[in-house]
Amino acid sequence: MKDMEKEKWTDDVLDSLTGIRQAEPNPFLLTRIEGRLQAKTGMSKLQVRLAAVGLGILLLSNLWLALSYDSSKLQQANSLTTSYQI
Amino acid sequence: MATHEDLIRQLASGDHQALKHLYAEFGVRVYNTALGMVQNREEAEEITQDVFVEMHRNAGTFKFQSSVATWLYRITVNKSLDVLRHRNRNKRFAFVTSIFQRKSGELNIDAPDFHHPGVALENQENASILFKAIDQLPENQRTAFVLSQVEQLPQKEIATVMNLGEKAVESLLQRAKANLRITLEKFYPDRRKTRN
Repeated sequence: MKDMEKEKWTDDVLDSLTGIRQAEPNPFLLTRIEGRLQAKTGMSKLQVRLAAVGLGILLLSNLWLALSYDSSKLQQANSLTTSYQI
Repeated sequence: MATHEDLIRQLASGDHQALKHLYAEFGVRVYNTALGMVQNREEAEEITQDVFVEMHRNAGTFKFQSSVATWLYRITVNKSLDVLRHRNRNKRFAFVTSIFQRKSGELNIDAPDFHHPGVALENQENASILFKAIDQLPENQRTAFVLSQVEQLPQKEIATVMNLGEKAVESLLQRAKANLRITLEKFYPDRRKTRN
C-alpha cells in the first residue's frame, strides 16, 4: 500500500511539467543586450562624430595660426638678437 | 518576410533591426532553455544576454550548416553548462571552507527551491521537487531532459542540438527518467515528514 502511494507520488512529480508554459523574460532584456553590444563596439556614432569635429577644430586652428603668423615679427626678433649680440 | 538565415546575414552586415527580429523570434526560447537548465531567473537572463552577444559576434562566420534555432540552442546549452560547472566549483569550495569553519554552524550550499513561472499552480510543489531532482542529473541527461520536457523539443531536434544520434537521445531520456525516479524515491520520506 505504502509502495503504491510512493509510486503514485513519484509519477505525479515526474508528470508535473506536463502543459508547462513558456516563462516571459524581463521586458528590458533586449535593451540590456543592445547596451552590451554598444559597449562592446566601443565608441558610439555620436562619440565618433564628436571626436572628428574636435580633431577638425584642432587642425583648423593650427592652420590659422600658421597662416596668420606675422613674418615681420620674426625679422624684428632676429635684428634684436644681432644688435644685442645674444 | 525575411528567413532566419536572411536575418543573420543582415545582422552580420550591421543591420540593427535584424537583432530585434531575431530576439523576437528566439529570445523567449533561449531564456526558457537557460531557465530550465540553471533554475535561476537572473542567471537565465545573463545567459540570454551572452547568447545574443555571441550570436552578434559570430553572425559573419556562421556557416548555415545547421538551422539558426539549433545554433542558438547549442550556444544556450553550452553557456548554461558553464554556469552549472562554475556553481558546482563554488559548492565544492564552500564545502571545503565549511570544514575549516565549523564554528560558523550549518553548511548552506544548497540552492533554494525553484518555482518555474510557467508551471500550473496545482503542479508548482511537485515541479519544484522535480527541478531539485533534475539538479542532480549528469550534464547530458539534464540537457536532454530539459530540452524534451521544458522546451518540448522533438527527439530529432534534441539530437541535432546535442550532436548525437536519435537513439542516443532516447537512451539518455530513459536513463534520466530512471535516475529521477531513484532520486525522487529518496525525497519521498522527507516529504512525508514535512507533511506530518
